[in-house]
Amino acid sequence: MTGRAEPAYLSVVALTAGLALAGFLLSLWIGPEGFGLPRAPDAAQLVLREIRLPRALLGLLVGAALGTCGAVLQGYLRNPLAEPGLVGISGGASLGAVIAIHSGLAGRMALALPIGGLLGAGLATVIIVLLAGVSGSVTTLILAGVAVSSIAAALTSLALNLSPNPFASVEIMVWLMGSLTDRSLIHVYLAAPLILVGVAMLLTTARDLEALSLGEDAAQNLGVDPAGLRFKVIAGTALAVGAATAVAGGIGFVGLMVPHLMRRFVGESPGRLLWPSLFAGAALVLFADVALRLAAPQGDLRLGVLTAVIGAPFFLWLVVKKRQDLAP
Amino acid sequence: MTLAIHGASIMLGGRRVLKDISSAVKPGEFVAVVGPNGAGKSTLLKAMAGLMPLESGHGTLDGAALKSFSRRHLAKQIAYLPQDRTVHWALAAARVVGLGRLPHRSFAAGESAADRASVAAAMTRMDVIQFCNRPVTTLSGGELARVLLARALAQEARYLIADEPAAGLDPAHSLALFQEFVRLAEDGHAVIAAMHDLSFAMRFATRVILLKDGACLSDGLPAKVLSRDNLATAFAIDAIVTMVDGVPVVLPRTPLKRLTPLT
Repeated sequence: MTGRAEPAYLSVVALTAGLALAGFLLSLWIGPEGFGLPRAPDAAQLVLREIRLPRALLGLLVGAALGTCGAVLQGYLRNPLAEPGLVGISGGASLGAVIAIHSGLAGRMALALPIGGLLGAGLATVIIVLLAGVSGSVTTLILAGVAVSSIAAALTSLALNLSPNPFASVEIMVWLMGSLTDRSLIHVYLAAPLILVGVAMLLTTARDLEALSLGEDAAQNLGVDPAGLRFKVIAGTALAVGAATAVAGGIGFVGLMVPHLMRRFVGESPGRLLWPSLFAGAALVLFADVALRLAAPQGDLRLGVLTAVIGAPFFLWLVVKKRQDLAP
Repeated sequence: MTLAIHGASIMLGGRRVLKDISSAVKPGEFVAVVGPNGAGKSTLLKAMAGLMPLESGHGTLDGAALKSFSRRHLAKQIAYLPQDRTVHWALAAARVVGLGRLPHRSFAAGESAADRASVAAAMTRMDVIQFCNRPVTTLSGGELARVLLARALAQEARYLIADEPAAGLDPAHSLALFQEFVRLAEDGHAVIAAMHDLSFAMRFATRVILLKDGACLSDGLPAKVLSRDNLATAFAIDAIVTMVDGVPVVLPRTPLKRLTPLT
């Protein structure tokens, strides 16, 4: 493998942004009856505003959050296997939402579900910071993340186990699969500011991630403030992924796959990876959401399941490719 | 203009690896830091680069505490080349060297023409310009070492602190490297390098710091520091210190005691 020509950075960003835009428009254009909108102007407007716009906007936001966060975490932890779920924040968000369903609060107030998710994400973040410290090593952050994820997963199982009735357990399971179905603009208003602030924080780490390719000492020598960087990574992940999980549930593999797909187009540069991963993450979630509406118009197929079904074979392909690269 | 540490002590894992060391380095000097494995060379270098919290003592740059400067400011004054040569991604060599320009670039700004010129100059000096677009993962150990050195040069800092920069370099490139250090010192930079080649230290350095067990055994002109007696004390070797064709040579002859039992 020798110097493969690298496409110009701006064209990679423009192309992925174009894909995301195409996914967004397609998502607005497709409904249970296939492509297009209802004939009557009133109905068309209603469908667009109340059903399709929230869904498309959330797809855009959630995908952007997952793609960006995956790229930042892989750069920060200098590990191509890192993904947003690794640091335990999405696990906390899931648990919070599940508790909201379990307690029946979600049945009484629609917003209890995402708010529960946000509280769960916030609590998980606090625990992770307490465990790993504000300026500890990368390893302690991973360990704290794994610990919090495990606890959250255990408690989620417990809630499922003790669920008051079969309907609640089905509701919990369906929610855990992750979906953009039946979300309203209120979900967008709730999640958008948090995701936007979180993603913006994550995007500011680009330079530091570049320097970190040479290791922590060299990075500090190049002007990186380790505590500041850690703060931006944890807070950005908490806001972006916490909010995304709170409104959409667990959508796996996007944060892992997207940076891998994009890495080769930016010469493996961990800083240049961020914007393309943001747009490609959004595009992947939007196209997957369109695909499942085409494949299962009745809404039986869940987005998180579809991304996992695409993601797992991708992972296998990654293993095979890695082996080929390492072979002489 | 001085980069100095005053009475620096550092504990690592319950062991005192640096004991009350004071040293000041001025532009124009090429200081070789020598000593046996575990003597504290790397720790001393990191402390001088401001990358290590000191247990006692403090570092200063031009009389002001190192801690009082922002990381960004220090990055423009001190370039530090770690011993660890891991590059975590398959970046092109030119991009790795370009990382040395990060402290000079304003936030989110791309590479300027000056940055590119500086990268090209550093790569030419380290004889790696031909690797420009090669991913660093495809380079040999010595080639990678030179790419990383070029990164430190591209930083254009007044002080260059390098931890065993010549390890793994072939004879021609080690010679070229030390001649480059001499040239940098003559140009008004200061070079502080940990190294194991005592002949090169004797020949090229303007000053040698000899460490043993975290303390400074001797500090001064190479010929004074690298004496047979000092080498015997620090390294437990009987060494030949001589001149061959006008070139100083320090050649270890025999160990004075068995270092580790072979049982």
